[in-house]
This record gives sequence, structure tokens and C-alpha cells, in this order.
Amino acid sequence: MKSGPLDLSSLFHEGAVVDLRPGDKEGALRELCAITAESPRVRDGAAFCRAIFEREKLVSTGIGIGVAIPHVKIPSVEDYVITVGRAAHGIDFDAIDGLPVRLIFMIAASDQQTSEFVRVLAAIVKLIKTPGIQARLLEAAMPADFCAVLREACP
Amino acid sequence: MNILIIGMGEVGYHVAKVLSEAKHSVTVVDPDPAKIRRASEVLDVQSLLGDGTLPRVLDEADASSMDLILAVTDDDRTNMLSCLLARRMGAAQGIVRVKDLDDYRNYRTLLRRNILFDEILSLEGLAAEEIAKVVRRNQAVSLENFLEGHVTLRVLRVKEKSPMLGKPLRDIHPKGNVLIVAVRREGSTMIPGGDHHFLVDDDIYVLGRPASVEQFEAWVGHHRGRARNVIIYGGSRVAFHAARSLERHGVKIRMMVDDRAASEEFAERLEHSTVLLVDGIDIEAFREEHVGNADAFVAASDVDERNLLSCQIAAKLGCERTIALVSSSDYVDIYEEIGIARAVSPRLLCSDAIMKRVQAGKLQQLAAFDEGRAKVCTVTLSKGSPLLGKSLVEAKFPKDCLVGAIQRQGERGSEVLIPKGDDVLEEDDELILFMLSTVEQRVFEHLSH
Repeated sequence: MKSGPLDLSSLFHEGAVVDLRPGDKEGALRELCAITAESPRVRDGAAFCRAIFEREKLVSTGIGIGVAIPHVKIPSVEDYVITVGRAAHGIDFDAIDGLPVRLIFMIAASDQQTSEFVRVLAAIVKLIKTPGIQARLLEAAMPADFCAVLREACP
Repeated sequence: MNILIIGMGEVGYHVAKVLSEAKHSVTVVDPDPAKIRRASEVLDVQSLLGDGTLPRVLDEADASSMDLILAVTDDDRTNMLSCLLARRMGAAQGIVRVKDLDDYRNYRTLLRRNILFDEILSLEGLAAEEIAKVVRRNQAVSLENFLEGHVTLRVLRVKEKSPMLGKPLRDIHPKGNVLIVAVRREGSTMIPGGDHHFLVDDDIYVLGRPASVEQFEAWVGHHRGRARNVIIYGGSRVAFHAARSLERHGVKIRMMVDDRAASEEFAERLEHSTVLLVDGIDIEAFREEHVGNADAFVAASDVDERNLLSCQIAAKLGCERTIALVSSSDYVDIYEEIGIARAVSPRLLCSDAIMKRVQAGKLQQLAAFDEGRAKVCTVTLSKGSPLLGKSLVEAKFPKDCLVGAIQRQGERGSEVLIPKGDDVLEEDDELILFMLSTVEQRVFEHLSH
């Protein structure tokens, strides 16, 4: 995987794309953690959730322009699981630019995937920088259309 | 140009891509079928599967007709041997990549003569110099470093009451052994002669050893804030070399090293830096070290993700100048979009350095100023150069070209001279030339005949 192009779209699937219930950052993270933990690739959901909150304590994963990418790599995860949450209401995520977050890409990865993680992050940043993509993602009907937009726009 | 690239790792691939897009005729060699397949599918290059240290393979790659061979695998010995064989077969120029220049520092001349390369590059060295440059870049002064940081160029503005005013250049005896290589006045740049008079608001280009340039700055009453509070995170070779380069410029560093063996080595080899051993990324340690107040925070560990995260934390704590080492050139733009002030990619720097060489031919451009009107170039005097044995005065470089510094290979390593008129040029001297672009062609011819 290291030298070939990254196929980000293969990491998204319809069951892992949700409209978040209204609430705060903690609620959003808990909801996404619960969905992520349903994947058989995540062997210990509680450990995963704890790790997500620990990571968030270091520095917010709100990378600006309305997007957050909470992520961890831990041994009890076998391979990538990406869960996408949409929050039309906007969540205060303590993001670097202070803007409320409307799209959250949660990433679970194995601790063996060190060098690849930045590739996934880079691919997501490239995706959300595509002109007009955020509006389309926020307006798309869930989950099928949303996934279609994601796949179409994936770098 | 016909260019042969040995090694299709990230560096080789990137360089092959850039060179082939620039319409050079590129041949690539690698023993890995997957890499050769990718190159032949994606790039407009000739590709050849095989071991680049085998004469048979080099012959098949037509090494004898090459203008340039780039030996850029991640193995020093492969690179040296490939370059040597290709040059012996007839390739005109060679560039060799090595891991750590330190291992070769005192043997550059020996190697250059025997391995026949024209340039030796290290990714780590390039990255360390770039980091040092970014750390030291001050909003008020532009500057460049040459000869691995042993020579620096700064631009200073002449102020009222400056000791530079009121007499011709030949009567000015500044403190510090420096050369004033150019003056910019009202948008035009000139190389000053001995009878030049400076005026208030002239911008002068001063070249010399870092310590000398600082002495000179103090002498003309130019005081600027410099980065004093710099933190480097990580235990890589790049972290080490960046710290050492900054030490040469009088910057004291605090190093947060995430690797015990590296921390011990750094503590022993770095004279003016404080070395702390840290356990991964610990936000409490970052707070205790007041990372937020640092003039610059450099993350140069071997792990991209740690560099990214530690820079994000430093930024969060209030540090404005965060610099992250990043292994893949693809991420540079992305890092800078997500709040890292500057991302440094060794591979990108390496291919930039190679491109400069390819574009410049014999005279290699190091830096350009004033929209290209003035430039700094380097050239190495090889055996047979008409300038050998002549003093600088006798060498009669064209008007508007100055020799700013000479790196000379001695028995025990190299030394840097800020030359005077009676210094005599020797074989293998590396000259740093400052010139107006209008005379570049004449300088090139002067060096060739």
C-alpha cells in the first residue's frame, strides 16, 4: 500500500455514515465511537473510545474549515475503519480556527499502520479541500447519496 | 539532457518525474520489478530492470552516452559504485546521494577524484540546512546560507549615522572579515567597486562566516532580534544536524529527544544545546518546557505522525513558528493547510537540488535575488581549469562578479576562506560567486576556457 496511490473511497461504507444527533463534542465522539466499535475490525470498543478521548485531550483534531478527524492507532484494531458523522447544526470542537465542525471523519487504525496514517489524513484533507465538496456532502441525502459524493470526489 | 537514474525509491521517482516532465531523456534502473513497472506505466522514461552496480546493466542503459548519472538509491555503496562505473564508461557528470555527509566530510576530495562525482548530496543534510534557514529567517532580513552553513549572506539597510557613510568603500574597514558583495539602491542592484559611496537606505548584501557577519552587524549598529529560544523535537539525524548548524550561528537549542541512545549521543556531541529525554509526546513535558513561548518549534523525529502532532500541540500552546519534517513530498501543502507553519520534505529538497544542477550546467545556481537580477552560484575548479595557480586578481573575473568565499579541501578536511585579492586558487576549490545575471554567460565562459 505504501507506494501505490491510496484508494480512500474503499475505506468508506454506507453503514458508517451518519447524521449525528444534536449535541456537543463529547456526544458526537461517543456516538461515532459506538458505530466504529460495531466493526469486527475493532476488537475492544471501550479501549478504542478511551483512546479517542485521550488523543483529543492532547490537542483537538478539529483541523479547521469545519472538519475534524479524530483518530487513534491501537493494537486492538486490526485495520482501518472510517466512520463519518455529519452535523448540520455545527459543533464546537475547539478546532484550530475556532469554527464549528460540521463533518467528522473518525479513523481507527492498527498500531502497525504508522506511516500510512498520515497518508489517510492527507487524502481526507485533499478531499475536503475540493471546491464545493463540503456543501455537497452537507446537502446529500443520507447515506447513499453522501457515499456517492464521497466516492466521486475521492482523490 | 540524457540522464540516467539509479534507484527508483521516492527520491528517484520524484526526480525522474520532474526531469521527464521537463523533456529530458530519462532512463531509470532498479532491481525491483514493481518499481520498474510503476515507472514505465506512469512516467515518460526508459526503464530497465537490473542492478545498477553491474557493468552489464549500465551498458544496457547506455551509460556511456549519458550527460548525467544520478545515483540515488538509499544505499551509499551502491550509489558510489554505480556512479564510478558509469563515469568510467563515459557519463559526463555524476551526483551521488549518501545518508550522512558527516561520514565523508574529510574525504570529499579523495572521493570526488576517485568516485568521479560532481556532487554529493544527503537528504538529511539538505533537510537540516533548510530547517536551520527557516528557524533563522527573520522578517526583517533575508538571508541565505552556503557551504553547509559555513558562509552566510545577509541584507542590511544602511541607516543614518552608519560608519559606512561618508567615505568610499576602499576606506571602510569594517569589523569582522566580511565582503560587501552588492548594493541595491532604488530598485537596481550593483556590485560596488572600491570607490563606491554608500547612501542612507541602501540595502547592502554582506557575505562572510556567520560569526563575522554578526560582528559586522553589531559594528554598523544593526541589532535585530534573533531566534534564541528554539526547541527541536526528535532523535533523527536531521534533528542532530539542524541543531549543530544552528549552534554554529550562536543559537542555543533545547532538544526533546524521544530515543535514549540518540539523546545520549546528542548530549555528548552538541556543545551548546540542552538535551532532554522525553517519552513519546507528553503534553505536560511540552508545558513544562514552555513550548508555547518558543521562537520556533521544530519536529524532526523519524515518525511523520509524531512530527505532525507535536507541531499541532506546540501551535496550540502558542508557538507561531512550527516546522515539521515530513517524509513524503505529497504532504507538504497539506501540512501547511492544517496549521503547520512550514513542512520540510528532504526528498523534495533533494530533487530541487538536483534540478538546480541540471538547469545550471557547470555553474550551479544557489540563490537568486531581486527577481533574478543578481545570483549566487557555485563552481568547483577541476584539474585543467585555466584559473589554477592564479591569484584572484590575476584570475580577472568579469566585472560585476565577485568571489565571495572559497571552500578548500585540506589534508584534514575542508576550510572556508573569505578571499582577498592575493589568495591563489587551487584544484578542487569550491567557489561561491556573487554576480549580476547580465554577466552570467561571461563568467561561465571565463571558467571554461
